Amino acid sequence: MSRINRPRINAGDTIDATDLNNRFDDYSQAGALDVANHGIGSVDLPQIQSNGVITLNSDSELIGTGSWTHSTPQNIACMAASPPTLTEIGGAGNGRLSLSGLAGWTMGPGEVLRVYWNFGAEPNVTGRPYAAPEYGALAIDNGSGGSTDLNDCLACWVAHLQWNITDPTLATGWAAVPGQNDFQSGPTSITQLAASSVIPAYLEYSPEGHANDGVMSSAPTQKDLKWMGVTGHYFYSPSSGSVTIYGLRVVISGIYHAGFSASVNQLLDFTALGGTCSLDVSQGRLSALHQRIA
Amino acid sequence: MAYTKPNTFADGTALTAADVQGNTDALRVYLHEGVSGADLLAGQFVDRRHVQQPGFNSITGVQHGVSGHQGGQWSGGSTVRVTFSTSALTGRRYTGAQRWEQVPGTAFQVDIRGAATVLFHWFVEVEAGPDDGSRGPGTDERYVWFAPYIGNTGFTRANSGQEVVNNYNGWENGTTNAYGADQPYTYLGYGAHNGVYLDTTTGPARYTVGLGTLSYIERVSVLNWGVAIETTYD
Repeated sequence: MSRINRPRINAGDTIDATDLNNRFDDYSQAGALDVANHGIGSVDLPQIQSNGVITLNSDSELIGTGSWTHSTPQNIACMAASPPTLTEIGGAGNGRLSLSGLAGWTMGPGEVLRVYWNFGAEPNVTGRPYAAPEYGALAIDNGSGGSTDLNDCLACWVAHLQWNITDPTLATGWAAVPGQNDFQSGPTSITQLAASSVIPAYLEYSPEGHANDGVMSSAPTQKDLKWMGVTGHYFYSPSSGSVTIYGLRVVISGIYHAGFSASVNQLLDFTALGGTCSLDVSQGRLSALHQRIA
Repeated sequence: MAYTKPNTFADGTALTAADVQGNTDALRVYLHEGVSGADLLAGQFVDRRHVQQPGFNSITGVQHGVSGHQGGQWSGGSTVRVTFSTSALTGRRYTGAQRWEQVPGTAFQVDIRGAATVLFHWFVEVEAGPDDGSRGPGTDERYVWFAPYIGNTGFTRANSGQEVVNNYNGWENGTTNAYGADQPYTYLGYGAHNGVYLDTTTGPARYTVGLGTLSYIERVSVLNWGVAIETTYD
C-alpha cells in the first residue's frame, strides 16, 4: 500500500504550516517509498534492459547547402598537403546543431548521447588521381611479359563528428568527439574512427570484363562515382564526471587511402594527386538525443 | 539520499511562493534522479495494479509499454518479402511530374499516449536498375531515393533520405569470351543505405511513419529492408 495516501487539499480548505510541511516530509522517510509514490511510469516493461530509458533532450537540424535534389551543392577540395583542412558541411555555421538553444546538454554517468547524421555526396575526379606515392597500386599481368597498373581504389573521404564543450556561442572550441581522431597528426588508426562516415573517392576497373586468365592488357577505365547517400552515427556515455555539450557538427576532409603500418590499419593522407579531386555535398540532417539509462 | 525539503514553514510567518516552489523543485529533482535504493520499501514494491498491460502487434512487431514503443520488422522472417520502387509510380519520367510513394510493407501506425520522442530507423539494400530506357534523365543521372514520411507521403522528410544511382552500365557482349558485367555492377547497382529520423510529438496522437520512395529508375528491387521504431514518453 502506498505510504503517501494523504488526501488532497480542496479549494476552500483551511491549512496551516503543518499541512504544508507534511506534504513534503512524506517523501523524507527512508526505506518506505513504493511505486505508487512515483507513478506507474517509473516501472517499465522488460523491452528495455535495466529499469528504463528516459529521454531528456532531443534536437535536430538541417545541415548543408542546396537541397536533397543535388542542386547547388557544396564543393569541398581535397587536401594538397598535410594536415587536411576540415570543412564544415554547408560552410561555417550551416552544419551545426546547437543543443537546447546553446544552453547545452549536461551529461553524466548513466546517460547517453546518441547522434545520427545523413547527407548526399558525389566524388568528382578529373584525371587519374594517383601519382607517387601510388597507394594501392596493383601490378596486373598484361599478357606480354609486363604489367598494367590497376589501383585498389581504397581512396576515400571521411566525414566525422565534432562537438563543442567549451564555447556556448559555438564560435570556437570545436574538437573531435571522444574516440574520433581529428586527422591533424599524420596517419590515423582506424581504431580512432568512432564517429566517421567513409565515402569512396575513386573507382577504376579493368576494361576487360571477361575472364581471360587474369590478364589485363589495357589501361584501366575510370568509373564516375555518382551521388550516394551517406550516414553516420555516434554514441557516447561519460564514465565519470559530467560534460556540457553546446553543439555538434560534421566536418569533411580527404582524400585518404587505406594503409597498414606496424600492425596498425590506418588511413594515410593522400596528397600526391595526379589529377584533381573534390567532393560535392548536398543537404542532410543532423540529429541528437540525450537519454538517461536508469 | 532521502528527500529533505529545503524550506520549513511556520505558523504566523508569511508564506512565499518562492519557498513553496523551492520545495516542489527539490522534490521534482529527487523524484527524477534522487531516489536511492535505501529510500525504497524493502517489501513488495509493485502491486499488480501498478503494472500496465503491454501491447504487442504481431504484424508490425511493435510492443507498447509505459515508456513507449519499441520494435520493427524486416524483409526476412518466415518469408522473404522483397519490395520495390519504380519510376512508373513515382518519378513519372513520361510526364515530368514526381511523386513520393510508400514503400510497401514499411510503415508503422502507433498510438502515442502523450508527448514523446520518436526515432524511426530504416535500412534498404536495393538493386537499382539497370535502366537504359530512352526517357528521363541520362542513364547515369537516374536515382532512387528512400526517405521517411510522417502521416502520409505529402510530408516526406526528403532531407533525411538516401539516394542510390542507377546501375547504368551494360554487360560484356563479346562472342569469344564468357559473358559478365563489364563494369563493377554491384559497386554501383547494389545500394545498402540506412537512416534514422528523429521526431517529437507534443501530445497524444495516432502516429504514422514509414518509408517513402521516389525513383527515376524503372525497376528497383528492394531486396533486403528493415524498419524499426522507438518512442519514449517525455
